[in-house]
Amino acid sequence: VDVHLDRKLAVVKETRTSAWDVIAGLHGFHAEMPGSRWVSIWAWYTELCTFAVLFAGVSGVYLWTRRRRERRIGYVLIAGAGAISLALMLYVTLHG
Amino acid sequence: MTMYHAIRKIHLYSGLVILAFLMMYFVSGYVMIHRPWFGGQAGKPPAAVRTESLAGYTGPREPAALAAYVVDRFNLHGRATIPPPQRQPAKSIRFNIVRPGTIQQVDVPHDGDTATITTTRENLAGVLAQLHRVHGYGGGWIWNAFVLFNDLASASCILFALSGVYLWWRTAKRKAWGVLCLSASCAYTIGMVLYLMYAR
Repeated sequence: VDVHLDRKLAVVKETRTSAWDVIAGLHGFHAEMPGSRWVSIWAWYTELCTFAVLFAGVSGVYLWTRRRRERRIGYVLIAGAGAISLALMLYVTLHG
Repeated sequence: MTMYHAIRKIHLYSGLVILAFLMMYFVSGYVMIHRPWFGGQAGKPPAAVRTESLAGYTGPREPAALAAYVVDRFNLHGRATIPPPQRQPAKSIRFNIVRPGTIQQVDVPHDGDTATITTTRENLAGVLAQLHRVHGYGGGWIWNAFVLFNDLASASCILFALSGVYLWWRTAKRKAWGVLCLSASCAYTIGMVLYLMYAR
């Protein structure tokens, strides 16, 4: 919105985005949108989804540990991939 | 091996492999949506600015070649990103050397032989937020391995959802609540996308 006080004029330029842009914008969108409760609920939904990610990881590990079979390969995968992942995160952050 | 067992194995093994990245996504994502709770922008050190000589550089005066030269000569660490022409300043060539928590903005004047390097460092919340957003190959093989893990974690999230729904459908005796939750979440998400695309 461009407001021209001297001419008592406001110019509103509306640009529509594609579905992919909307989806990208919704990732991590956690703000109130004035006049739209429908959109504002998204912040709560994002919060719920964040904890769903945590729950998926923790419950997945719990269910795996309850099984006797596939325990050894599971330990190898979780230890190996976990160590590589943490090393990558540290290296990329500290060294680039 | 039945289809059910194959999908169960894919679900389990892919989950264990990307568990650390999934937890990183949770921690960094939570910090991002509640940044003020984690200090906001406080505690960031002031930007450090230094000017270096480019005397002796004989290559082309274009961003990619300059970035490669500056990274090598001044031992900068990170992935080079070059802003598009419309975001380049009028009087200089600009590129950034980026890694989570550290951005080194380099400006080379069109008519000069110097490089001004502005180093901006983030606080812990900023480091996590940038770790969450790392993308794009081309920053060396370790960087590329990190991005590959990030891509695998992202793809696995889709795979988890699909294989999880399949496993639930095959095993659950009562599906009513699951169908209700799944339908409501899909409807709300699709509705949001359509609303933001078409609502006046």
